[in-house]
Formats: sequence, structure tokens, C-alpha cells
Amino acid sequence: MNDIAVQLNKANSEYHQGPILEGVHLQKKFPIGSLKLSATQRAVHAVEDASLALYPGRALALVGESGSGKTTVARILAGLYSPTSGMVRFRGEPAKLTDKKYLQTYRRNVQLVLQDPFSSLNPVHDVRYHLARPLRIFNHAQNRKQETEQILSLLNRVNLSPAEQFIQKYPHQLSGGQRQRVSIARALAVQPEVLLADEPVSMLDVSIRLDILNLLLRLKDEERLALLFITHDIASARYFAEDTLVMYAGQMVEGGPSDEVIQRPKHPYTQLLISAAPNPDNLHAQNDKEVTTFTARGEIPSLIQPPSGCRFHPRCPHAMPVCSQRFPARTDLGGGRWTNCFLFGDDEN
Amino acid sequence: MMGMNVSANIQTDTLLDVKNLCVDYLASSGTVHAVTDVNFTLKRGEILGLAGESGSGKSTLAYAITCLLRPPALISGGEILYYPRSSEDGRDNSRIKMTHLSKGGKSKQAKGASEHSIEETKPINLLQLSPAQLRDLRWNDLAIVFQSAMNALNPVMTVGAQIMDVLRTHRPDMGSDARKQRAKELFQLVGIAPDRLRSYPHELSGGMRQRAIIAIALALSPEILIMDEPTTALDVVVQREILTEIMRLREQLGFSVIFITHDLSLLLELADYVAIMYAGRIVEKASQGDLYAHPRHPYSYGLLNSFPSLHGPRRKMAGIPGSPPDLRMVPPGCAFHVRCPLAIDVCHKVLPTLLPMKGEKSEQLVACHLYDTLYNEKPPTALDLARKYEALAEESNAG
Repeated sequence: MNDIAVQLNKANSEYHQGPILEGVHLQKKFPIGSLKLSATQRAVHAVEDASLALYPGRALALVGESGSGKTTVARILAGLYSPTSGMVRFRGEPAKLTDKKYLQTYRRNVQLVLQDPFSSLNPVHDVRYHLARPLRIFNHAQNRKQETEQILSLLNRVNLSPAEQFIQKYPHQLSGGQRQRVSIARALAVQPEVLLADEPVSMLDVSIRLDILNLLLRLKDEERLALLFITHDIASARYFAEDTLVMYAGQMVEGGPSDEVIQRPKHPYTQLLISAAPNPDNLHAQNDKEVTTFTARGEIPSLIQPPSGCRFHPRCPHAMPVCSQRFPARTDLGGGRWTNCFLFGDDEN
Repeated sequence: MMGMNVSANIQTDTLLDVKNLCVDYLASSGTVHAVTDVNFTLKRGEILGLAGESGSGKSTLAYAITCLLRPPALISGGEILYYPRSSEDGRDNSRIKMTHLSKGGKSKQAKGASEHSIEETKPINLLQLSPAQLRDLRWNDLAIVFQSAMNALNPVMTVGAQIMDVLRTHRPDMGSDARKQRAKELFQLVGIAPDRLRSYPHELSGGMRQRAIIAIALALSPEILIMDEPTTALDVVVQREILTEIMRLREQLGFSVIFITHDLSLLLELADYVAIMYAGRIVEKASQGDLYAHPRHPYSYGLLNSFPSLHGPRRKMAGIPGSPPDLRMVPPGCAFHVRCPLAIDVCHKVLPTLLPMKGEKSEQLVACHLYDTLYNEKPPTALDLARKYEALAEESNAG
């Protein structure tokens, strides 16, 4: 559990203050068909074993296909789901996410930005309402004058200017990018230390995506936010985050500094993900080269009866008999890199 | 074996010629000029990519080509010329023989039944066809793959029944066994086990549904396949599989593709030619290699640089500032001047036309005054574009 922290310590001296938010061996099962009491409980094994740590002023990207469990991890960290096993640690202390009182103070520090700005804002309320509620609930504003001041400064921080005009607009009067800025402002209103961004740009138009990513990067630097950036686009993970974790079907398969992970992927799944990503640079390299590197077929398996052992083994071009028997332990590759794959050893002892 | 021959023909044969096409939506709040004065040609066996932001008119263009637009949309001008393959064309080889086997019934049937004699060598203006003629043409010559496979399939019919439905409608002389056989072939072609023919759409994954749709589109061996964001809803790995599949099928069957997407980096890998659309107009048209090496239009450059790259140095990038214009009130002159970091005075006033760069033989056409010596002495280089956008990135960083 602490091994990530230890490894990352080497990479950057900033880590000495330790992680602000940690997920330790998180597991989440969603029971299904619970009517039959006699039958063994069937469940969707959404997250099997996920550990991650967020540091102030740093961004961590969680990359995976749909169904890999990345959103579930974010929701556990946000206190929306309680994990089946494992725990969340906040500032080094276990977070009591079932305690309502605790949850209120927890949410003052940990905020979630959702994927779809078209459905995460209430269409019958204006921007002022959306931003005033967190200010009031968390007692940041005592009266209406303070409230207005703070809302205006929030809108300016997310580059919505002139703020005086935006404050009275309704969601339908805003474009997708502007709505997502309002969502980010709403999360910032609480003055959090951790921002969990669940695919914050995937619903936005291509030309606007970078604007939002740059905004989040600026906020991260200026306010020393700890950022979790969930994405399916591995190229934007490299652009955005210092560290990258790769998830497959609920298991974490590889992690480390983003550039290392993406330039020299070790786990076959990471390699597959990178060779599948659109990359016009391939034009200069021979076109048929990237076709040959792409070998695995098929899709993410059913998580109700997931494959045994390493869940990637049915698609893996390098699968060995041991892969279907048990999940490989984490192998430290040095420099903060690790992977869970028998190809690189198995330090289970 | 046939690859050489086909590619020799590709260069010369025009398949589709779109001329001065304009499409408007008549809304109560004002006319939306979704597509304005669009020209392009599609050659046999070619993949033409259309890229742009949402609202740039790329889907409307696709619907217009298939004549699927319904009011309030109105094709207010232009023509779409389709050049059918001449049946006496001796140059064609295995591919045409194969389609003739499957199309043999059709060409007699179609001509006899609907009494229209489409002169096979002369171009047909799709906009002047009667509904019956269009019905004949669609799917036989022109198939479309829609954006979301979830909605394009009928949820209460098995996918097999839906393929056979197409065959029954367009090949009435085909027996039920032959139809089943063809459906099986098609599923194998797109890489699905034929026993999945009996599955309902909800029993298939997103990728398989998209494959099934492609199988249906290919059922009658069309000449043109229009794909409107076929992989946007899919995961990257599945997307790569589908694209590899499309490329393979094109090699095998020799159809042409109009591929619409907002993901320019994808298009640069896939398409032979790329047209970039902005506010209903094509602003740049170039071969894939030219566009990648030196995008000319500031919008193309911005779009191309909206995608972080997997390799190379990590650098600060800026998107394109602002948002796409309201198509009811397109800005005068070049519609992009409002967002353009390099705009000069004339951009506000004069509408640029698609022109090649002076003294250059390449097929790269750009609608931008910066490259017109009449308005700008020294056309900007890719480096100049990069600098302007970088300055913008720093500015937004500071603000």
C-alpha cells in the first residue's frame, strides 16, 4: 500500500509532505439479482484492487477503456460509493466515509467534476444559484454581498468574463465549454484541496478541450490542487499529468511517470492502448508497422464472471499458463515505474 | 493481385462530383446556413476525410449527398453528380465480376421495373432523381453508416433479419437460402461469427454492433460508403479494429469512402484526401501528407494542434480561442477571422476562395488571404503559425 508513496518519493522531493488522498487496495462489487437468497450472490466485479495516491500540486491520470472501473474509483474517492473492501485515506488518516458529519468536512476538501456538462447543471437554475449553493452550504459566504463577490471572482478564475453577464445566465444559454467551466467553478467554490475530474473534456468539442485542460493545469499550479484526471485518451494523459496509471477491467496493470509509461510501455495492455491511439506521426514511420504491432483482439470481458488471474490474459499475445491462474504481483521497474505482469517478474514472496 | 490495376484506375476515375452545394435550415429564428458553396470530387477507391468542429456542417453534407435531408432543411443550390461504373468497362477485373454476379439481378430488375434508363456512362444529378430512383440508388451504390450504432439498429429484430431485410428489398429475386448465405458471408467479412446473426442488438457489444452496421452497409457492394463519425462512441482499441477492418475491406472490395469525424489525427492516418470545414465551408483541401506536413489555414493548424501528441517533447499547447459562430449570422469575410490569431484587415471584408498557393503545383487548396499575394506579401510559414498560437497559449496562461 505504501509502496507507491515510497516509489514516488524518489521521483520528486515535493512528495516529502506525503499524499493528501490515498486509495488503498480498493475493491468494489455491485451485487446483482439479489432476490434469490439461497443462490450465491452474483456481482459485477467493477474494481478488483486499486491503489493510488494524490499529491498537492500534482496531477495523476487514470487511463482505461470504458468498463475498466476508472469512474468507480473516482466515485469511491468522492465518497459516493463505499468500497467493498480497502480504504480511503485522507491526510494520512482513514476516511470515515459512512459518517455523515465526517463526509461534510471531507467534501469540503474533495470535489468531483463530472463528465457531461449538459446534464450536471440544473436547467432551471442560473449560474448564480449553482455557485451560491456550495458557498452557503460550506459557510464561505455570510451574506449576499460576499456571495456575489465570491461568485464573480470564481467566474473570473475559470475565465468566464465578463463575469457580471455570466452570473445570470442559464445553462441553455451557455456553450459546452462554458458549462464545463461553470462545473469547475462550482467545485472550486468549496475551496477544495483535491479535485477529481472524471473525463472532464470528453464531451467537449475538440478545439475547446485544450482550453479546459490548460485551465485545470493553471489551477493546479496556482492553488496547489491535487488532481485526479480520468480519461480514455492516453495522449491527453501525457499532456496533462505527471503520473499515469493504467487500468484494465478493474485491475491496475501499470503506473509511473507519464512520459515513461507512454514512451516505453511495458504491460501488453498499455502497449495495445498506445498502438491503437490515433497518431498521425505514423505517417512518417511506415504505415504497416503500426498494424503489425496491433495484435490483441476482442473487448473488455464481462465483469460478472471475469477471467481468472490476470484479466487481460484472454486477449494478451504473450499469455502464459500462469497468467490464468493468479494475478501477478507488482514488479518495481525503478524510477517510479511498476507493472503487474509475469513478463517482468513476479515478486511474490 | 487486383491491387495494382485498381490503383491505376483510381487516379483518373471520378465517382462523385459535388458542385457549389448549399444547404440551409429554415428555422423560425432565422435561416441557418449549414453548408455553403461546397465543392469536392471523390475518386474511385479513395478515402476522403471531412473534418471540423461540431456545427461545421459535415454531417449535413453527408445527409445531403444521400438526399436524406427533410424539411426544414433545404438544398438551396448546387448539384451532386454521380458517375456510375460503366458495365462495358473492360478494364475492371475481379471486383466488377463479383459485383455483377450479385448485381446481375439488380441492373436488369431496376431498369425494367422503374422504367428509368440511367445512362450508365453519363453522370446522374442525385438532386433531380425521383424518390423511386433514389430508393434504387441508395444502398446499391451509396450506403451510409450512422454515428451511433445503438440507434441505427432496430432493437426488436435480430441483426440477421435486418441484413436479410435489405437483401429482400433490393434483391427480390434472391431466394431465402441465398439471402442467408449472403448474410453469413457479410458477417464473416466484417469479422463477426456467423452464429451471431440470430442475436438481437442488445446482445452485442458496441464494437460488434458497429461491425454489423458496416455489414449491412456493404450488403449490396456499394460504390460509395459514407461514414458519419462511425467510431466516436467506441473505445480506442475497438476503434482501431474497426478502422483496420474498413481499410482491409476497401482494399478487397474497392469502394470509396467519405469519412466524417472531428478527430483530425485519426483522419490523417486513414484518409487519402482531407477537407477541413469551418462554418459550412471548406477552408482547406489537401492530401493527407501535405496537410500533416504543413497545414496552411490557421484553423487547420489549430485543429491539428488541439490533440496532444504521444511522442516528441511535451509542450504547452493552446486550443483555438473562442467558439464556432452562430450559423444564422456568419461573420462577414472569412468566418474564422474572429478567432484567428493571424487575421489581417481584409479578412473582415472579403470572402477568401479556395486557391492553390502561387507558384506551387501541389493539390493543396486553402481559402485564406494570408496566402494570397494580393493581400499579403509574404505568406506565413508553418513556423509563423506555430509562433502565433504559442503566443496565444502564453497569453491564456497568464490571464
